[in-house]
Amino acid sequence: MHEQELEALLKETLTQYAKAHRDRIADLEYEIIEELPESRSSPLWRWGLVGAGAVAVAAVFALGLWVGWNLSGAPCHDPQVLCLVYPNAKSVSVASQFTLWEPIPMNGPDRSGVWWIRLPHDIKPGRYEYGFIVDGERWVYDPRATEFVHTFDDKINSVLYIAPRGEQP
Amino acid sequence: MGEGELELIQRALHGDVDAWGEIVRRYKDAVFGIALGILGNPADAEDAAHDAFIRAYEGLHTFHLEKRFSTWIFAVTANVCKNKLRRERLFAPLKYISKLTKGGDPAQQLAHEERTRTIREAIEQLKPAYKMPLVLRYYADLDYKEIAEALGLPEGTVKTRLHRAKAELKRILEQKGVAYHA
Repeated sequence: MHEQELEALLKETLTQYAKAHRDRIADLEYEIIEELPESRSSPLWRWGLVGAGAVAVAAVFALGLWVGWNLSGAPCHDPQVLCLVYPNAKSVSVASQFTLWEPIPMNGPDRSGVWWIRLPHDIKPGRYEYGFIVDGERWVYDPRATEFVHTFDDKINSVLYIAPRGEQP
Repeated sequence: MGEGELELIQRALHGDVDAWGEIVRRYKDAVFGIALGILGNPADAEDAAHDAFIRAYEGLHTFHLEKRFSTWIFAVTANVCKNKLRRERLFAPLKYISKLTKGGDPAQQLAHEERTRTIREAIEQLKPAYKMPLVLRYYADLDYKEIAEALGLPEGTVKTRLHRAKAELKRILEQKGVAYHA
């Protein structure tokens, strides 16, 4: 037996062995889903609470919103805030029709790696496409968006709807 | 990354367990195969695959999104197996022999079957330190660099271990009467 033959047989042996017992994992994804909590007790919320506690003790409101934002978790529960989890990014910007596609740097990351930005308070009601730019080069769509657009240059934009004041989006 | 994989990972990071379920569906065969190759026992491999996906979900925020997800999940799997071996001192004897279903000359088929079985037995006899890179290389198709990343070893060590693993396999196969020519 030659080395190449041995390598081929190794691959074949391991592959066949796994194939022969594959039925054992037929429902693995369902078992895993059942076992996981429905909503991750994610570092996002965990660290958010820790951060909020720290802010309450240390800041006594004197340092204001800026300190609150920088020491606590990102306020992703707020519908006026766009968030992206990207712990290893050095920078994340948002570019959108409402920024005239000009990248606007996002805040963050918080201790869970979440980047966030609050929508401009004077944003007009309407439909806006947007996306995130990671490290100045990588276009990333918002996984939390409910609508997406495949662009002509093969990117994916997320879509955001701003409802008139007082109306639900 | 595979189609939509980054989106699935992002969704899982936001707590979407269905997105993680899709990741499990895509990777379960590979993860199970690696665990089976290392542990040598289907029941233990099933447990290890299960543990690997749970642990990976819990530690998903440590995954570098710009890297290959497959390498990372294989690394988690290898670590789960390593711990299992350490914990249980598990060197399971070979009990499960799959049937080959290839057609052709029955004598030839039997010889092939015999050879495959012999190789599996030989893999079983390898030390975990040799078995892990071997399985990642020849089952999961990782290159040296990826194996090094997955096992947290220098690339040179991976090469050495693979070389020694094959030398050890050669020795075992020769003992079993399988002629080997490098």
